[in-house]
Amino acid sequence: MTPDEARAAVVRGEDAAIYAYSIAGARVPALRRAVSGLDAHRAARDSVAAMMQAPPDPAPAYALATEPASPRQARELMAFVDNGLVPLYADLAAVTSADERRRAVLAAQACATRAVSWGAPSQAFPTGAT
Amino acid sequence: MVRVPATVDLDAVQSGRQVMDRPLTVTRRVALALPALALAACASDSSTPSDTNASPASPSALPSTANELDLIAQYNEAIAQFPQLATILTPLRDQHRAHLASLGGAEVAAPPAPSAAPVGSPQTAKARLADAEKQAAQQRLSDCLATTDEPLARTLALIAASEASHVAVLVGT
Repeated sequence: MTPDEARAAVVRGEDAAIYAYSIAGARVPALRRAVSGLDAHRAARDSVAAMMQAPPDPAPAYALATEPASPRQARELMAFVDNGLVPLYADLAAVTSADERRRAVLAAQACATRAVSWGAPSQAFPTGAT
Repeated sequence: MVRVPATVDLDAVQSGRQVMDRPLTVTRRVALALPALALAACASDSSTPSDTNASPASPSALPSTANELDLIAQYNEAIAQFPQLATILTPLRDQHRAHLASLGGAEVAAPPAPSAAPVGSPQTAKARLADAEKQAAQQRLSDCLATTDEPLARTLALIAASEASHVAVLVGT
């Protein structure tokens, strides 16, 4: 995997997370936490995209097999996208160095922490597929 | 619309198994259906650290390995002193065992759990562990920055994330 491939995967993942947070975030009582998570995902997306000559564009929409109807489903969706980003950031950390690697690890930590804050159990090697 | 496969393969670490004479390397191939909420970017086809079967610990993994052993011991002590915390603490300890195995480390015969009287309260025990996890998450980041071994860097990034999330578990319960 080249650094740009890893960056592109993260940017696409962050775009999906932004989409998911935009939909699910409005459906939880912890609105402030959801907004803070959405802001973090936007900032992280821009930070990684800035390292690329031609970052991928967001898709117009992402396949949500189920619309998050209840607060519980909304929390699960946000935890799922957060945990799903962790291995993508780990891939990015592996193929970069110095400050870019540091930022990738910090982003992985923030994602895994947010997933737990939404009620997901912690994992030894966080991933969205549990 | 971005379509994603309905299933992903991943290797799950079979954690929590005591191994005396070799690294814990048992992996299990499982196909897990993604939850109904399928999002494109969240299916990473990269291998989990356990895929690679822990190789003999590389020198750059040693600080992390030693720290994982220390964390396991701290959890064992807290669980022995405050059995009512076992439900919260045991999964976290077992995740550290999985971390240790992925770094090529192995537990030696564990000393008997100390039978000393409990020190402090369950709350202070959790706070101590949360501090230890914060330091561990920071150290894993430093270890990750120090290595040129890409698979090891990836593993350390995942462990750093896991340990950061442990803080949230300990503080939030």
